[in-house]
Amino acid sequence: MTAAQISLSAALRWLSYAFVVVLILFLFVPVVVVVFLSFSNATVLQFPPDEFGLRQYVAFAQSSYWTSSVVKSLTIAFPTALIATLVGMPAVFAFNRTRLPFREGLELAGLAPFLLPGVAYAIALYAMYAQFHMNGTTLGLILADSVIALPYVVVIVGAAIKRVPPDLELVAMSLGASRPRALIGITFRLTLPAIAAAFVLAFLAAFDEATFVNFVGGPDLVTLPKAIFDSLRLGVDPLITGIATILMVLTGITMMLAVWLRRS
Amino acid sequence: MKTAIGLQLKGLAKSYGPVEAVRGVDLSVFEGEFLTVLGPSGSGKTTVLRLIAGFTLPTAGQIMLQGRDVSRMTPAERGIGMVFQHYALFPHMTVAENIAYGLKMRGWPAPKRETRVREMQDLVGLHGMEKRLPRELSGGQQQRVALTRALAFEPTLLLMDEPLGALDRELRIRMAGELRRIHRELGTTVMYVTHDREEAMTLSDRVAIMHQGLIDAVGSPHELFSVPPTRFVASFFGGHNLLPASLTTQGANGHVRVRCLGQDVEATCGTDLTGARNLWVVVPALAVKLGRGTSPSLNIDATVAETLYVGGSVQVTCDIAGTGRLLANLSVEDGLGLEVGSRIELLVRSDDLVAVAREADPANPAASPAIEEVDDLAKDI
Repeated sequence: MTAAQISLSAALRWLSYAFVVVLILFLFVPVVVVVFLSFSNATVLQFPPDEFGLRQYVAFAQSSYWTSSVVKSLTIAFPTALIATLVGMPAVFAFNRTRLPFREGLELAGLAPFLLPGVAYAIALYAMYAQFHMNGTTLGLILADSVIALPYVVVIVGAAIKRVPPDLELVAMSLGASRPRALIGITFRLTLPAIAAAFVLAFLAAFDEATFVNFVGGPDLVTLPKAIFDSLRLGVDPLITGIATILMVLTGITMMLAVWLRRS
Repeated sequence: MKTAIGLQLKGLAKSYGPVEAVRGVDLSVFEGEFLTVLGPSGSGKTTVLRLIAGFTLPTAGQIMLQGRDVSRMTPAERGIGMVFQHYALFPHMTVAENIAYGLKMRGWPAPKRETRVREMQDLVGLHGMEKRLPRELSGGQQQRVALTRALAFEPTLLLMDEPLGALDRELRIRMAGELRRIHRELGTTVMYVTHDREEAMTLSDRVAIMHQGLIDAVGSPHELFSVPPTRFVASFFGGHNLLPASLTTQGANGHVRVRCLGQDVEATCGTDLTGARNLWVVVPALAVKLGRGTSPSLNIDATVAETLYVGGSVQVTCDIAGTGRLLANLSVEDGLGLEVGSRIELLVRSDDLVAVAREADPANPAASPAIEEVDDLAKDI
């Protein structure tokens, strides 16, 4: 190698380091700023804050507007995660352990919500729900959210079941287990951590969902993301920085829980 | 004396759509016998095993286990033990839980289960391992757990699907020895499936050779090696050379006169060859000697193509003009000095020659002799 080539490759290496650093800064600076601002006692959003304190958190806890939206989000997210898991799990078993016709097409259909343009789907849903008087109902939103939560179950449980060799079920049957017993005692048991992880992620997806609720939600159906959007219309309340911090911490914890569940 | 039949297959067939994986297999395995089904990949041997285990149902035919028809029973009802190539141990259960699984499913009380698990550990030397998980064991230890798990509930039949395939060579030889010992001690009827003829040769009481969904031949390893009844058995199981020949006269007592390389020679045959004009003469590599004989023998003029010292003997690959290749296993003093390209004279005593019909194997029409075909099969596997 010539001296010019060496200096070129060194320059490229520094460039790639710089790129990584910029990328990380771009991702994390807003997070740090939001957390920093949430501990300001100001009544308007300002940087840097004059005074630090827990004002935003206290205001959040005392506002029924915000606390009821959190409760609403929870009452949506839990049943949604449950439905997605209860529908997705047997589907995944059928995709991987039977000779179901059109298996691949159905499996792709299970992933389609990942690819679907959310707004377009929400408009269609709004029109359809109008026919059944389901706009603004909790059930309507739970069903809509279940659709976008389903792919998490299909992907995570699907990946787990593919790692369980079918021979394990066969050997269990040769040892005297019935087919259901082999399926539950071996295959289901071995995919249980993934099922739990999928439940957690489906829960997060529903808790965070901000598109559908804007279409099929209503005055009695205000989830946390909807409450944030609504409050932005009246100007930026610094309280949002507190909510954002709480959300990020909780999401971080549940994500770690999901990772830990999948590993065990 | 082995007289009672433990397992009997009657016209067993299995098709997957238009594909016939097994095309009518008849086979009897005696009580306490170690029978190996040997065949190349795609011969249908694994399908036969899965049919017997009950993982898939036959399209036609019957499976009789100790006189009762089990063809349509669930795997659990059949009471057959099975060992898989990749062990298929339950990863979330300890060694002891794995071994006890079959006992638990069959309703053995807990104290009896514990005693049995300890007995099985004794049998294969797995002391102090009962609390370990499968991933904490070596390949050989995992194989022992799989074997004891299949044997613990005292099955009437043990099926093994290439159980040594995933082990390295040295461990394979050691485990084969252990299998022989365990079979001797327990006397369980064993049906073993493999594509490795050495395993089949060293482990089995009898070998059933499978080819294209059918059993080609059944016999003791010695019978099949010394007097192969078909071309496929000669090349796949024996690894013998094949030379084209034609029938002159079918004699009595399994003897024939054939014309091979322009010479009239006598040969043995495993089946009556009357009516078969075109034959193969089977020439074991070990039977080929250097020199020219006056006693009844086949003389071969050849050119040395390659010599390979294999310790104890020299493998010489020769070209026979207009015929093909021949593998000769010569003694060190005869073979070591041979120059590549030199012309040599070889002979095979007629006692060592076996004739097989060429028509018996329509799927493999007459081609060059066996050596290259055996190589092809090895690649296929």
